[in-house]
Parts: sequence; structure tokens; C-alpha cells
Amino acid sequence: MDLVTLIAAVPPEPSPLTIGLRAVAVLCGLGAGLAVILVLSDYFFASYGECKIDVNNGAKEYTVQGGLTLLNALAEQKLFIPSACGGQGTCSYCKVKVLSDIGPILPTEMGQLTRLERKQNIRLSCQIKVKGDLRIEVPEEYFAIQEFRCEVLSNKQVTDDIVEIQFKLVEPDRMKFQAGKYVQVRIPRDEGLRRMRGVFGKYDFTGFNERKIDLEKVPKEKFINRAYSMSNSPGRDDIVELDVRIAPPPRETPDAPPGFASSYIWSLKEGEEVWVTGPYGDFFIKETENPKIFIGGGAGMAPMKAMILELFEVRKTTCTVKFFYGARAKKDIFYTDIFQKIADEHENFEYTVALSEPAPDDHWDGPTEFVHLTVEKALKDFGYVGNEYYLCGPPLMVDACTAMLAQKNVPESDVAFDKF
Amino acid sequence: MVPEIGADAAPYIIFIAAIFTNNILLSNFLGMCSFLAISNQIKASFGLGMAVTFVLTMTATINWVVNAYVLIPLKIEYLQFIAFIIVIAALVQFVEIVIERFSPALYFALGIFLPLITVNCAILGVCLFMVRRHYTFAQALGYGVGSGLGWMLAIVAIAGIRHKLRFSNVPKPLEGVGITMILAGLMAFAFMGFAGMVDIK
Repeated sequence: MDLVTLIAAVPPEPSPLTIGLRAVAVLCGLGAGLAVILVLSDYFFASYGECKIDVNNGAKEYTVQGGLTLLNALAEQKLFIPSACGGQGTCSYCKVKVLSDIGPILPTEMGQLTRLERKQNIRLSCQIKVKGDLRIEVPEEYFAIQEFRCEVLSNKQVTDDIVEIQFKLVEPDRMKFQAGKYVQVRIPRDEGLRRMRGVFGKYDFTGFNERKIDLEKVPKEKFINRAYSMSNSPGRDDIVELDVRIAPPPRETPDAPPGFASSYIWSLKEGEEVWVTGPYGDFFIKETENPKIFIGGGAGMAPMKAMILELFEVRKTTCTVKFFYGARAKKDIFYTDIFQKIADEHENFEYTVALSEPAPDDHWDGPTEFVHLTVEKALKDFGYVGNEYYLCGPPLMVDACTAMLAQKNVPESDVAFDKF
Repeated sequence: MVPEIGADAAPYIIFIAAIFTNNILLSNFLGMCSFLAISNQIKASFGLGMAVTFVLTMTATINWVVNAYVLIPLKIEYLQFIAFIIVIAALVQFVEIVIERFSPALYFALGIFLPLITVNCAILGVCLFMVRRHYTFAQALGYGVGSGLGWMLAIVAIAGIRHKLRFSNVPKPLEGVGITMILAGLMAFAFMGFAGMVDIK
């Protein structure tokens, strides 16, 4: 067989290798081509140029890059709208009134807006996008919300499951606020996930299975914000102090991951840099001379302590103040010395602790019951109506107290609370 | 005698056939998942139907071009599935970006349905049928638009029936998806009544 016939015998079909190479080339080409088209179209079509946002009828005007969500666009301009869920559309804190027409309510907003709010053009700023000039209205106090660079000053455990952490404000170095307000701590997502592993007080999370973390449920943003009430007196405006309870996995699923934000805060060491925004919230003491009753439980201590310190250190109040604190056992009580000192120095302050299940070696002779029952008994002679009530604690405690107060005909407007 | 339509049928005949006699949903049972999920609201069904029609028209034509000018000359037709899916996914994204920019009203009307269509099997089904039946470009266009409208017709009709059914006593075990499957079957029977018009293979 000579060479010519050999070449002629080669079938015209391309070899499997050529076909394979072609396939790879075509798929890569197709994928790359379409990707380029998408990137270009995103660049050309999804850029809305510069948009003007007019806040509160000319009070502030910002020029932002269009295409972002309203929440993020405003945050870039240092106007911080409260948002505890980090833009997921679940906490419904980020409501703003939009005066311009930006289209119908989105399906993701539906569940968070009441019928009345929909009528008033209230929208979730984390869901709507800035695509043109906008006019919006936000509560005046949002302008006072700033972003603070802080340094961890101290981090000390005060009970089995609560730490008191102090941040020193660095830039800006002062925060003006009313007691009862909260701040949002900014937690880097990846670092936060890493720090879940560790020993926190009596809890040892070093052995938990990281694969149990459902990464789909952790927000994708680089930073995740979590809200905590401040416990320092407004007189100390150079620090932010928080009481943070560790969140161990629920009893029925002991191998679930621990709380994301609480383990991060527990793991913070002196000198570390932390970013917070604040002050947020509408939980504060009214400017009246009525007797003030504070009822707290667990880490709900934080705003209670701030409010009582504000009353006695800043306002030098003369009205009657009673503080009831509910805990499980003696080991869960903290800040006793602070309140004991105020009680010793001021006749108008009274501090009562109720334990629901004191340990046998607590030698507890105080009230042994849920705190709302203690309040009910203690106020029998004093009277229930005419006082202002400030509640902060676990939802069950707050619900029990509000139900008890409603039964005593205390008007709802006299009961302020912060559930968490 | 039913006129049998071969590869040389006029595009408008294929268009009509795709709506009635060869309804993608009721004769091929493609696109059932979103059909069952969405068909409890007429408004949403209409929105989804619009979106499917839109994307079907675009993907049928573009995939026809990809098939005829890239896959066949290079003899790599076996890549049809994966190539078509890539094109569909990218196209849906592209369409979403463009609509969001130029027609916010349409964007809000289609809403969440637009991205959902990427995984609607009716879209891939139409592309594959179109290739298997050796359609020309115009025929593929007619088939794409027709299939989309047919799908919309079926889902809106079912949504209407389900709307009426809200006031009927459906046996407990059949509530929800169960009765919808039966309905879809009955609808398919009903659509077989169109079979005398034309038939495409």
C-alpha cells in the first residue's frame, strides 16, 4: 500500500480528539461570549448614572450612584437607616417613606408592610433600588446616627452566660444618646464564622461540627450587623458598653452552631478594632415626674442600667424609681453593687430581685417567683395606674408583664418595652 | 383527513398548531412544575405566561442560530442540551437586565417569574423539538411564539378553573396538587378536540 492510498483511506470524519477539542472550544467560547454580553449589558443598562436623593423635603440632599438599594446608597452617604437583619427584608426596621413614584410594592416587601403603610408609600429601603432621583422622608433622629470606629476597652464575664463589653470610641470620639438606645455592631462575616469555635465561659464550642452551619442562611454580605442595647450611662459618652448573652445551641439540637454575633463579641480581646453604628431606637425615658417602674430580665439589664444611671447621674431625678430584676438563680444576678449604691444614696430608689429557681446553696430569702408576680405584689399598696413602666427582657417575661399590667388597667401608652 | 404538516409547513400553521393541537403543556406535559405551583392565581399565571412567551420566542430563535451555524458545521450536535441551556440561562439574565432598565412596569409585572423561567423545562423542550423536526428559522420562530402562547393559554385556563374550584367541595385527599393534576388531564382531553385542525410531527 503506498502513501497516496493510505491518505485516501483516512475517513473524512474528524477524529474523536478534534471533536472533543471543538466541543471544549465551543462551550468555552459560548460561555465566555455570553458572560461578556451579560457583563457589558449590566454595565450599560444597569448603570443609572448619578441619582439625587432628597431627604425630608430638602433637609439633606445626596448624590449617589444609581443601582444600589436605597439602604446601602444612604449608608454610603453616612445616613444610617436602622436595619437589624442586614438587608434581608426580614426585620422591617428600615422602613422609609418614599414620595417619588418607584413602582409597586415588591413581593419581598409585602409581608412586612401593613395595609396602612402601603397606602402611605412606606417602603423597605433594603429592597427598593435607586434608579432615578428620589424624594424620601425619614425620622429626624436618623440624621444623628453615625458610624464609629472603636477599640475594645474591656471584655469581662459578669455571669455564667453574659459578658459586659466596653468599646472606646475612637473616631468620632463622642456619642450623644438617650438611655435605652441601641447600637449595631458590624461583624465581618468570615471572621465571625471562624470565631464561633472556642470556649465561652462554661460553654465549649470547640467540638461543634462546622458543617452544621447552614451557609445559605448566613447573609452573603461582607459585614453582618447585629443590634445590642447600650448599658452605659449617657453621662459616659466616650464609650459604648453592651451586655451580651452567649447563645448556645438549643437544648434539643446540641450539635447546632452557637450564636453568630454573640460568640464573635465574646471572643473580642482588648485593643481589637470594632465598628458600630448608632444610636438607634425609640425606647427612652419620658420627661415626666411620674413614678417610674423598671422591669428587666436576663441581658435586658443593659437598657435598664443605662436608664437608671441616666435618671440618677444625669437628670438627678426626684421621682420614685423602682427596679425589679428577674433571674433564674443567684449566679445570674449582676451589677448588684451599682444598684445597691444608688439605693443607699437615694431614698427614692428601690431595687428588688426575684429568682425563679434559686439553687439550694443560694440561701435566698427574697421573692422566689417570676418577676411579674413580684411586681404585682410590690405595687399593691403603691398603686398600678399613674406609673410609667419600662420593660426589657426575654419575650415571655415582657408578655407576662404587659398582660399583668393590662389587667390592672394601666394604659398601654404608659408601658414601653424592648423585647429581644 | 387531517392535513399532516411536514418540515415544509408554513410558519403560521406551525404557530397555530403549537397553540392548540400540540400544546407544549397539555400534549407534551412540559413546564408542569411552575404550572402546578403558580396556577392558583389568574394574575400571576398571566404574568408567568407572558414571561414564558417572551423567553421562548427569544431562545427558540437564538438557539436555532447557534445550532445551525455553530453546532452543525462543527459536527458537535451532541452538545445541544448543554449549549441550549447555557444560552437560555444567559438570555434570561440579559432579558431581565434590559427589561428592568427600559420598562419598569413590565419588569414589575413579570416580577419574580422571569428568573424562574430559566429552569422551566418547556423552554428547553421547545428548543429540542425545533431541532428534531428540522425547522427553518421562520418555522422555529412561529413554533416558539406559538408554544409560549399555548402555555399561557393552558395555565390561565387552569388558573380560572382553580379559581372557581375554591367554592367546591374537593375531596380532602385531592385538595391542591391532586385536583390540579386531574384538571390538567381533563384539559389535555379537551385540547385533543383540536387535533382535527392540524398535526405537526
